[in-house]
Amino acid sequence: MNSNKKSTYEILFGKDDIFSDGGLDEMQKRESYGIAFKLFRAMYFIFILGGLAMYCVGVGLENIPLYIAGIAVFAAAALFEILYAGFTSARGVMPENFMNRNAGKAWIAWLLILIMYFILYVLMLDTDWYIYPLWIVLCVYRLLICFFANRNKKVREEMLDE
Amino acid sequence: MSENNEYNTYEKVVGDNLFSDSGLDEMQKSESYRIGFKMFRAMFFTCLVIAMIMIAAADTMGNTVLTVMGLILITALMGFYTLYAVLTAAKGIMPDKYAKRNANPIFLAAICIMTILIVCLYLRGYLGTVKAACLLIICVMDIIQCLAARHNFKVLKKQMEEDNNEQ
Repeated sequence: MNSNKKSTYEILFGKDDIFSDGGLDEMQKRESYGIAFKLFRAMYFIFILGGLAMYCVGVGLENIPLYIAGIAVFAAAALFEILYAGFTSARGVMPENFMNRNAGKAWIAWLLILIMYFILYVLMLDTDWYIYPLWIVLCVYRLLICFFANRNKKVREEMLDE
Repeated sequence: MSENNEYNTYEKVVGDNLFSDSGLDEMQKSESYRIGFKMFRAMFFTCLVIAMIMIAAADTMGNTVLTVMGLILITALMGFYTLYAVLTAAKGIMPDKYAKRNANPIFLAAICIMTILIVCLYLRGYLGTVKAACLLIICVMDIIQCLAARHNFKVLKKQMEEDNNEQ
């Protein structure tokens, strides 16, 4: 299954790409995965901050294309965090403290905030409309994180039962 | 030991979050590193496409701020790509085919000539500032990657010599 996935990547981008891991042994793979993991989290933080900075500058200068680009960068970074949370929760390897903080009923608070922002967005559509889309993206992303934390908890319980 | 220290530093700076791995055992760490690797390469390509679209749109609209942000974004992305190349080369684990291609002196010479050509075309006024800046960023990062690939072979050679000495 795993090797099939790798070959799909290699079909798309070729075998001689820097990210292809077909020719590496297990030790080398682990080493390069470790490096990529550290770079991934650094990249995530830089792009979240960069997206926010672009959004703020876009709002400040009333530069709509920059504002849209800021939200796109922020949403892309958030999407990859959600995907990472999804994949780790499917295997039950989400960090325990993070899982405990986000599992349970935390999603209700985020759902209420999302509803509040959505109502405000509809009410303020004529005036301060540009403030709300980012917060709606943020709330949806937190809701999904809570969902995956709950799933991770279930997977761990199942593993313990087995 | 050094790895543990690194992770402690990370957790001190950022706090306890989704990416902290201090509470995981070795198997769980391997699994989350593998997922992180896949996410890293997917995020790299996705953000590269976003940056390209941003620069193309900004150039068409004449939006200077968006152009600058796009260039910063593409520099950050190429920086991460190059950093990955340098860090893998330092451990001698760069993919073999990629390392062979980039360590080739002809390839390095071709990129250097291209860099000089881009500067000349820009100075002559045949290339716009945005296009020239984009191409120069890519060329400089490519040169660093070529040097990293050469370093990768040196590390591999050292490792082989050490193995031979041990035997």
